[in-house]
Amino acid sequence: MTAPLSRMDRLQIAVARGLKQAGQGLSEMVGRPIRISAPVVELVPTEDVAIRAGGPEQVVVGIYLGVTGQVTGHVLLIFPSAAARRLAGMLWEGPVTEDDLPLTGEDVSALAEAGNVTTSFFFNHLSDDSGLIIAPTAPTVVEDMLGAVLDGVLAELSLYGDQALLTQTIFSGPSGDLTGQLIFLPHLSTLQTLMEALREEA
Amino acid sequence: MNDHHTVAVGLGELALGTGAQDLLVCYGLGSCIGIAAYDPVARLAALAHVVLPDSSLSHGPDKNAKFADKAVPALLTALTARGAAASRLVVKIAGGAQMLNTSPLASRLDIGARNAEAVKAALAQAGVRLAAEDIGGNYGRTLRLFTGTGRVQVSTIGRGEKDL
Repeated sequence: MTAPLSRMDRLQIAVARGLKQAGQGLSEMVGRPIRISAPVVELVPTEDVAIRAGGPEQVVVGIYLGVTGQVTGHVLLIFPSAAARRLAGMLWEGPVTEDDLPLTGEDVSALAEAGNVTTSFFFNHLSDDSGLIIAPTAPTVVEDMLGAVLDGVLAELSLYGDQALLTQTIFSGPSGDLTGQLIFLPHLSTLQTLMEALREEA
Repeated sequence: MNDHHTVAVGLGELALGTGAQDLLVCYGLGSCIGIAAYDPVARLAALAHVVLPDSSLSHGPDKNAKFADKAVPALLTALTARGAAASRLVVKIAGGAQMLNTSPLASRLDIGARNAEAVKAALAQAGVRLAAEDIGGNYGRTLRLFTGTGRVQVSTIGRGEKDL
């Protein structure tokens, strides 16, 4: 799929604004500033997504939500294990779970809520910009190797095409202790719809 | 393990191990399946990283180990072309988990079980016996195949590691 540059640019701008909103949502939730890096928005071979996101053997906490509505696909927040534990501790104001212990029920609930808030801000903004209905499903929190967290999603994505639109940004807290990424992987068939809608609005 | 020459086998890839120090690895298998095959006489090894069950789901040019039905013949051809005998092959598989089993989209993402079934069917059709498996559950696995010995090791996060 080769989108004219201008359409890709519009998508980049809408995504960047949406991610800024997502960062603000997360900021408000944790009560401290969260910086958002300039997002990467590009078409990559589906098989390369885990490598681009840090490598398949890395142990991470993934907060997964499906994307439904007029744009469909997947969205994930990915944090290194220690960062996820710190974030969870901040959110439910309890002790931070040690790295070698499993996430507690409170941690999982807090991280799921972080996933809800962050992605809702993101998709609300994309909806506003495009006039399309886009909404995340309920979140699922898993801790495992990144490759394992992603491969079912990538397999499903590859049913729609050999390439994936990888939208990726890096969150970081004031002392670099909350570094994580947001990855949005729309089905290519609905990406067209999103691009068209963004053009009309522009 | 530092003496080994490590080859990471990515999604849809197939790699051959011919040297005694070669170590073939599928990192972080979730719903995907690693198929490890070893000929102890020829000392040849191959590892395939299967993503989907059936090549009828294909969109065009694909890596030769992406689909279970294509991966098994490709793996056998690669080995026998180098002098391995299909009858001597020791084949072990790992992966096929359902990672996001609490998601509302879980049924759509449950590719692991279908992958496992398709790999077993393809092996049976090729007349190859499956020597060992570590399949299913809701956790990731890294599969290592040591060419020098044929040893197959499966490691997990928090569930230890074992030889298959």
